[in-house]
Amino acid sequence: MTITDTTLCLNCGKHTARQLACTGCGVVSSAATRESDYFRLFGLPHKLALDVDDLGARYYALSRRFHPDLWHDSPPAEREASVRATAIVNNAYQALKDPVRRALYWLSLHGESLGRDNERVPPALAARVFEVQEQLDELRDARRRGDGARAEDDARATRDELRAELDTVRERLEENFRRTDAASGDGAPGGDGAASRSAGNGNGAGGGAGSAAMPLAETKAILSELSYVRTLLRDVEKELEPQWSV
Amino acid sequence: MERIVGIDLGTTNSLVAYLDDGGTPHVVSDERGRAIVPSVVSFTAEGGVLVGDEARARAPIEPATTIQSAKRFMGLGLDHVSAADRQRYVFDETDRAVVRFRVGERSYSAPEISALILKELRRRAETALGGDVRKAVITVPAYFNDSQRQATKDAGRLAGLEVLRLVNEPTAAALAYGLDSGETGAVAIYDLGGGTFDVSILRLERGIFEVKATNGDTRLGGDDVDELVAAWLLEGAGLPPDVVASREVQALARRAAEEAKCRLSSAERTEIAVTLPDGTRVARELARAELERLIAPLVERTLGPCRQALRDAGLRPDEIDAVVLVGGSTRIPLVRARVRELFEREPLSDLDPDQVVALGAGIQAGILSGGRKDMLLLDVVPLSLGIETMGGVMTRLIERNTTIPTSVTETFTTAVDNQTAVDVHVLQGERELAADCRSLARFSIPIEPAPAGFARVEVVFMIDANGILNVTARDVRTGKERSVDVKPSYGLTDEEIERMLEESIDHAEEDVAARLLAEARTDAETVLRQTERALRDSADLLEPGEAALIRAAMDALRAGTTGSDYNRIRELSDGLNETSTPFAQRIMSLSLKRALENKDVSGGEPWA
Repeated sequence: MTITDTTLCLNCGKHTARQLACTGCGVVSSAATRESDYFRLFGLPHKLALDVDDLGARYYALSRRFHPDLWHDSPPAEREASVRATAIVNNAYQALKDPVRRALYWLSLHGESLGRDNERVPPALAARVFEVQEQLDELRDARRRGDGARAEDDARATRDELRAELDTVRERLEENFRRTDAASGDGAPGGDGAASRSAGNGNGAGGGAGSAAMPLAETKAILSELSYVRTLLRDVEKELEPQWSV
Repeated sequence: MERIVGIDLGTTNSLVAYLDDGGTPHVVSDERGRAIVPSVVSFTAEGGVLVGDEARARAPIEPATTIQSAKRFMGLGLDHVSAADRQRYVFDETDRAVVRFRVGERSYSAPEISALILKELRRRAETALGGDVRKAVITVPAYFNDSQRQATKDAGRLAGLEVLRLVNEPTAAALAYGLDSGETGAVAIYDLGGGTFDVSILRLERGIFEVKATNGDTRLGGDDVDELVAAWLLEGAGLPPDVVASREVQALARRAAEEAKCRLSSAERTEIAVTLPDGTRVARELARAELERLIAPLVERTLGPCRQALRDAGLRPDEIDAVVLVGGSTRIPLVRARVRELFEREPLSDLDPDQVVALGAGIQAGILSGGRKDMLLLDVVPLSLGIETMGGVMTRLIERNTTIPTSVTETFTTAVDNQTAVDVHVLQGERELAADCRSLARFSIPIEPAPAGFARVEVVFMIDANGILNVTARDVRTGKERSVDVKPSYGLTDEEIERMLEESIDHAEEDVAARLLAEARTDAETVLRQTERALRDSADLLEPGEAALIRAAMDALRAGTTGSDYNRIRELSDGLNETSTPFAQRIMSLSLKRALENKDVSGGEPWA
């Protein structure tokens, strides 16, 4: 992977790739610890589909390099830089490990956002949302009357349905990621191998989307759907949990 | 290598530990082999301060001047004090932002009480390790908020310790458990201590300890069990209400309750008895089943946070590979049973639940000093952090369970023309309304006057590895750093801590003066005694008139030692020395000559 833009290292005065530590002297450079591209930070191409275990391993490796506990004996400036660097690494990991957040970050890198699309309930889900909320209201009423057992069974059935639904939407999102990656052709050099593999999968599973715009519009729709299913599931799970006094 | 110690500053008990050169943690014991320092401070009528066992023994006798469980009030203001607290403690009501315990004419904040405990731990560590101890890692409940963490750091500072790192107690316990295992898996730590409850879910992978989620209750612990049992005991005794309400009776009942609770961890039933100050004996038999009925709601309160932590970690109970019990209260069979049920497995308690946190703190101290390079902790912030926005709403900037350090940048602008400052109210908590969250601080960032909406101030909220918030601001237009004047909502201000430190330095000077005086007097007495003996034994070596001179110098020194000026005593000692030097030299040459004449005196070859 080649990185063209460089930053001046405050420690050795040499130009270094815009990374958290100077590639020349290995010191955490405060000049270099500005917010950088999260994908590049982990040495990954700009791909929506990624191996979360591999990301975790990269995260641990970066943590072992920059965590302030390991820079405790260094001069204050470096110590502070290590705190800032680790904060960026942590934020980056947080943003990439979850597929929804990763997709939102990826969209932001491409100057896109869910925007208005996310404010309305996806039409396919409108009836479902209404139904679940009604069911939870019933459960609460039944509990007040002292016979919540049947309503609870119903809610548990809904919970299991929603869990299955969430899994399905997640799979659809992952599948969409591979097609979007293939269609956009975005990504740093070196990520080509992964891209061609995903393209192969995408062709087998996906529809006949020819341009990048189609899968991207679909990405947004799935994201929106996923976040609604997630919220619904969370509401049901919360209601089903034994109550504890605060 | 600098010596860094690890301290478990507990609600009821505190310990100090260190990592040896071989990478093994040890808890420090005192001269009598005691590892635990009860977190109790007692002020005597003579102005003395007792810490630990000696203070704890006085608690039922001198409840008004003995402070227990001060940790429960760390980082809290009077707004957070309950009616039950007021029954048990006497508070100084002058400053609402900081809880202060009233003891006679003085009052002490929770960090000051904690500092006294830390000083005792520090003293023990210095004795055991044979050298100065100035740096420490201190554990805090994982669910401690920013103010409570800051208060703990303040306590360390007041005790003369640089607090290099605050470590969450359950995480420390995980370090102690995971020390020698290259284990990989998900671990739940259930930590029910004297005053706080925490649960943390961690992922262990080849020396990395990544906390996935944490939850808890900073006001729930063994203390509450004691309160319930004490109330049960007094309730059934048919005593007049004023007797029951008395601080002394309460303290006696609590102590008896605590002891009975411990017995019931192995016995099925026990007698719980107290002798009241008027000689009345109150006794009841307590069966384990009855204890369990009493405390079931308390134990239940720990399960909600456990479920929440699991949910936040994205794990089901059966995906947890091991459950570890930490804290003395996990010895209660009901607690074990409920934990077993929830996590669907037998919990581990191989390491002494009272020591495991301190051992972990010792390991973290070792990590910082470079003694363990293989282990690394990745901890989280327990509570969401945000700011108050329009309409009194809490806008979250950092979600709970975000790995720390972490930072978020927000840009603020002005609402009116020529506004000279932007005011920000920082909150912590999970509720929607600002009023329901904990107020952490308010700060004000000065800005150049400009038309409304024109100014741009970039504020970076950084939570460091200790879980403590740091705020920096920058004017986007000028690029200039802006000072941020942070006013903590609860807790001691920097000025107050400075003043306390100065006072303790003043005291330290008094202490030094007293020590120097005592030393000067002891030295003087030694010189006087030696000179007296020389005059008697070697009178034949004195020159004419010499005895009178020496006697005069001795009298002057004797008179001087009755005063308190140690410099004067030193001068007089030196004066006597000078006067008697020729005499002493003659004595020396004579004994030397004698020694040379009788070579066998000391055997061997004394002058070789």
